[in-house]
Amino acid sequence: MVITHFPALVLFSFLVSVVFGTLSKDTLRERCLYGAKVFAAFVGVALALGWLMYFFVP
Amino acid sequence: MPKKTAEEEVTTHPKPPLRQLIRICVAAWLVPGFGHLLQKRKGRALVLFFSILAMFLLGLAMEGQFYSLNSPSYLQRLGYLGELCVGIPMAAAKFFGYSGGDPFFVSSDFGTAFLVAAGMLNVLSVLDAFDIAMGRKP
Repeated sequence: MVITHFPALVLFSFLVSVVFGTLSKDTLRERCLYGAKVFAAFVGVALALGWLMYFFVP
Repeated sequence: MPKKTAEEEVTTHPKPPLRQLIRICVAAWLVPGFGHLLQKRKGRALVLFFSILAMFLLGLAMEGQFYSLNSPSYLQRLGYLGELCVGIPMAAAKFFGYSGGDPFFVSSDFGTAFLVAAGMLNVLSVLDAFDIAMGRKP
């Protein structure tokens, strides 16, 4: 399966977020919210670091 | 009703026998989510099983490498231990002929990360099953 970096990152983040949400919280609603937060953090930080590297690394 | 502290939870919930704790932890290691299933947490068991297995299978599909304990690099030996933590899926992959990936395949590095991460997530799953057995979690 050939996959580029960003889809691999999104897939990885999604699966890790699902597990983190399931293990960390007790109710379904809390799990979904926490999982969504973790997923957004994973992808958001990756995008932010990518842009930082674009502007600051020669 | 005020939430109980961790100490109150432990004192009100009887500590299970050591044999049962070992059985749950080993089961949780061998099959992702099985430790939760043994404790009647079916929803959690299913979610953990499918997500950890999906991560592992995606790692195989991307031709991720299986590290070796005989590798001269300490990091690769740690990677082997990480992959081993996923349990039976790794043994099953080797049994069905997965040779350990193609390091020159374009997605191989991603696949290796997925394989190790699947093992690490299973470690969290084992610890969670242990906490449930000890009465620290619902």
